[in-house]
Formats: sequence, structure tokens, C-alpha cells
Amino acid sequence: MPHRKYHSILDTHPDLICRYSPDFILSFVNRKFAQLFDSTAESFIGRNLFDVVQETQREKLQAKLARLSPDAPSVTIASDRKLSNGENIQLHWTIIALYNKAGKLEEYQSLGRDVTKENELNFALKERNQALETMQAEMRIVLDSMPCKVWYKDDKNTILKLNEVAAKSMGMDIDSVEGQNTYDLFGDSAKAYHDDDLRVINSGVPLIGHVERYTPNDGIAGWTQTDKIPFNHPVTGEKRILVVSTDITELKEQEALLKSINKNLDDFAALTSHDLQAPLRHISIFAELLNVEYTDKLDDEAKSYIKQIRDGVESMRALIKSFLKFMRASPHGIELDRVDLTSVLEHIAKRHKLELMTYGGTIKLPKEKIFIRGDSTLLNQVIGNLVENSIKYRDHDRPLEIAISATKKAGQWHISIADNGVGIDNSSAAHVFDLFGRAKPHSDREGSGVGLALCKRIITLHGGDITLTRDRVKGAEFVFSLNAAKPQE
Amino acid sequence: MGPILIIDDSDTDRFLIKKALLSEQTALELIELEEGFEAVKIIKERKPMATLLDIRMPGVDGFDVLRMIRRDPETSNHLVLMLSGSEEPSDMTLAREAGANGFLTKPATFGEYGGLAKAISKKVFGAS
Repeated sequence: MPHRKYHSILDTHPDLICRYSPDFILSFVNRKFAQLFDSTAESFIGRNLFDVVQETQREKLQAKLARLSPDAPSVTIASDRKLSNGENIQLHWTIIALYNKAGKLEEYQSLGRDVTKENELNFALKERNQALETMQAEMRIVLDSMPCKVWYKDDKNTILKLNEVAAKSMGMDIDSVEGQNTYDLFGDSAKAYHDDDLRVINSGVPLIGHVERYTPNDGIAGWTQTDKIPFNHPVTGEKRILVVSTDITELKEQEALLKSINKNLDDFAALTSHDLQAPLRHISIFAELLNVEYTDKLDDEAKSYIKQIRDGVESMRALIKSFLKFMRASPHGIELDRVDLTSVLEHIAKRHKLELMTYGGTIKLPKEKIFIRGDSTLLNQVIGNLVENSIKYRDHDRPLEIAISATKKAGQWHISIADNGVGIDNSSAAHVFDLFGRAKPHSDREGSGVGLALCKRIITLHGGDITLTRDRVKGAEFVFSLNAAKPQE
Repeated sequence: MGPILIIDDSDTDRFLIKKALLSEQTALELIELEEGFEAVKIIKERKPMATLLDIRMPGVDGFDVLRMIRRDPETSNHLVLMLSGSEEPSDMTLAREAGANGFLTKPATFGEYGGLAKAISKKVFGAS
């Protein structure tokens, strides 16, 4: 047979090859084909192809073969087959019908390729592509959900990725910005930003919290705070820069407003200091002159009226003094040093010792050595104020007991000053720290009402907090926190 | 004994200082000004021994007046004591920087005005 000389090539071919007559009688199968059936090539010769094909595939094969014609002499068909070892393989067949010149079918030739691995790879690739698409979609959502502008560039100044907020601030959409060079987008105005970026990229040192003026595409200038973070591409090592920029215009405006309010308060304090004190001084002095120079002409009642005038002036003066103290408790921040709070407490207890003895009162100090970070003069005012309040609002029916205790947790000292006085009812408790917010039931007792507001302001300036303990059965308890200092600093 | 010039926009404060000074130095001549525009001119004309100058005044304040006095060569060495209604540390510093010869606080009681008059007399006349 003239084909015989090709048999050795066909025999060693990695694909499955067979030939069969128009009535499907096999005339040739190669070694690979025979191997698939755990048999020899010879055993197939003379057998009908449909006896070899699995029953489930026969109908499909028949339909495919019926489509063949001289004009369309080939078809492909996919099939799978379970091997004797239990393994399932997928085959991709190409069937070619050979016709003679008269158009009569002479023979079929089939070539089957094992595409099991290829299909597996395609499937894995498809899965991976899906995962990649999901990741990209997720990254897009994350980026676009950020309220700040985010983008990253390479060292050639090409924007590789950016979020919607960033694109919008440039007056463009994401697709028209990604992959573009900022010089092409913004011309020479890109240079200032690029210089900054290059400094960060080349030094490898991030630029954090950089505040600058910025005019977005809508033309309304504002302020931004920008972080520029250098990084390298994880595979190629190419230099990149991540930029995160937040619009802080509103914050800046509030800051400016706050500054002007503070300035007004300072002016108001100065005005109070001078313009209110002068008439007070005059009232007091002329009342005094009246008392001294007309003493013979005034009866006792008139003199008591004059005393009332002078007492009233003194209260007003004390009020102004407290108010000024409140206004001037370092509105621009305070310098904190290491303070031995135990000594401050001992000093205050000593200062009130005599007064307490008069009322049969006692004061208990904490045993711990307390070191905090603060301003001792201001803290003296706070603790002094709280102790004076305990004395002022004592219960006349029982001896006054003031207990100062301290606990340390999470790097902070919590100082409690508790007494057994008349206490503060819950309706007043909400307002005790307000300026002039003195608890109403005791408003007959002396006091300017500035004290607790000042305490709160001072403690807040220290980065701490002061609270009034609610629902106490008797007396009042104030607790304030201060940052602890190391014993040896 | 030359006169003393008092520049203060408050009639009451001028009255009180005058009263205190006259009880200390009965024969003292006092010149009063409500504002400081004319200060240099008056000092040149009347040659007072000293000027008591209030800091807070509407329009030209005490610091401005002091600067005018110090700028003119004829009055640059004139004795000026500044008076303030409050004990503002910043006022004291500013007064010193502006070239005041002394800083005095207006007292809160008339009793203390006696001490103020004594302090002024000591600075001006060197007597206690």
C-alpha cells in the first residue's frame, strides 16, 4: 500500500488517528488510538467505528458525519472518554471526508487531540481573569468611595490610576486622565507639583500633611492637605508615588473664624479689664470719700447703705477678675512640664487647714506619688477651686469631709475630689461647667460662677477631662484626668 | 516749684489725683489736659516738672503722647509717669519700652491715693 510508508510517522504521532470506510469499517488506527482503548492497533481493523464509539456519543457523531459534503469536507466534534484507570479525558476530533473526483465518498480520516490539560488551563485562566476583574472592580470601588483625591503616578509624571474625586477636581473623567502625563493635561502649571513629587520619589521620604492653596477646575480656590508617599512597583521595581489629597477649605475657614473669635474675645477681655473697672473704681472711691469726709453728717443707716454700695462693687470686681482669669487661661495652648501633683495637693491642704479646722472639717490626700504633665500654677487653680467649692457648699449639719484620691490607668491619672456637702442635683449638674452656670439652689452662696468653667478650660488645655459624678447619695464628686509623667524625667 | 501736668480723659480720675496731690503738697500748681494732642506744646510753654500721663485715652493714647514727647529734642528728657487703670503686665512693659520714667496704677480705694501722691512727690521732687 502506498500509505504504508507513512504508517510509522502516524503511529508515533501524539494525536489519535484513524481511517474508516464510508460504511465506517476501520482500516487503520495508530498506536495512540489503540492505547486509549488498552488494545492493539490490529484488533480494531475491520471493526465498525460505531462499535468503538461510546453509546452516548453515537448520535452526535452520526449527525456530524451527515453534514459532510464535498463542499464542506471536515467537521470538528468534542467528546470525552473515561479511561480504564478511571481518569476522564477530553478529546477534540477533526473528521475529514475524502471524496474522489466524481464527488463520491471514498474514506473518512479522524484526528483526535487530547485537550484535557488545555481545557483545564483555559478554565484556570478564565477563573484567574475573573478574579483579576473582581479585584480591579473592588479597587475601583474603594478608590471612588474615598472622599479625598487619590492618584498614583510613575516617575515620568504619568498618572497611572486615580479616583473619581480626583478626576472631577480636574474637570475630566477617569478614562481621559489615566495614562496621561500631567504636563499634557495641565501644561507648565504641572511643574510645581512634579518638582515636589520628584523630591519625594528620589529621596524615598514621604511628604505628609503638606498644606497648600489649590484652585480646582471650578475656579474656586481652597486649601488642600496632601500626603505624598513613594513606593516601588512590586514586580518591576519601578518608582511610583501615591498622592492622597484632602480638601480642608472648610477646616481652614473654621480656623480663621476661630482666630477672629479669639481675637474678639481678647479685645473683649481688654475692654472688660479697663472700661468696666474704671467706673467701679470711681463708685467705690466716692462711696469711701462720702463715708470719710461726711461721716459726721451721716447716720448709721446711711453708712450701712454706703457699705452695701462698696460690697456690691467688690463682688463685681471679683467677678470681672474671675472672668478675666477665665478668658486668659492660655487660649493658645500651654507649656507642660513634669509636675509633682502630690506636692500641689499638700500645699492646697495646708492653705485651707485653718479654715477647715474652724468648721471641724478634714481633708484626706492620696497616698500615691503622683507625677503628671502640666502647668502647676493652673492646676493649683483647679484643685484650689474644687476644694474651695467643697468648703463653700458644705452641709452645716455634719462635719465636712473632703477625700482626694487618685488612680492610674492607661497612662493617665484620674484624680477624684469628693465631699459630703450639700451636693449638686441632677438638673443643675448639666450646667455646672458652663460660664456663670452656678447650681441654682445655692446661688445665695458667694461665688462668681466662673470657677468650674475655668477648671474645665484648664483641664481641657491639659488634654484631660473633668466630670461631675452623677447620682451621688450625698455630697459632690469631681473627677479629672491628666496625662501621667514618668517619676524621673 | 514748677507745676505738674495731668493728662487724663477722665474728669473723675483727674479730680482724684488732684485731690490726693493737693493734700500732699498744698501749694502745688496743676495743669489739666483732657487729651494729649497739645502735650508737647504745653510742656514747652509751661515747663512742668513732670507729666502724669494716662495710658487708655480715646484717639491718641498715652503711648502715642509719650512718643511725641520723646521725639521732640526740647521735651525728650521730660519726666513722664504713666498711669493705668489696671495692672496689665503688658502695659507696664510697653510703658517702659516707650521711655516712661515710671508706671503707676490708679488705686481702687481713696486710702491708697495717699500712697500714690507720696510716690509721685518722691519721683518729682525727690522728697518722701
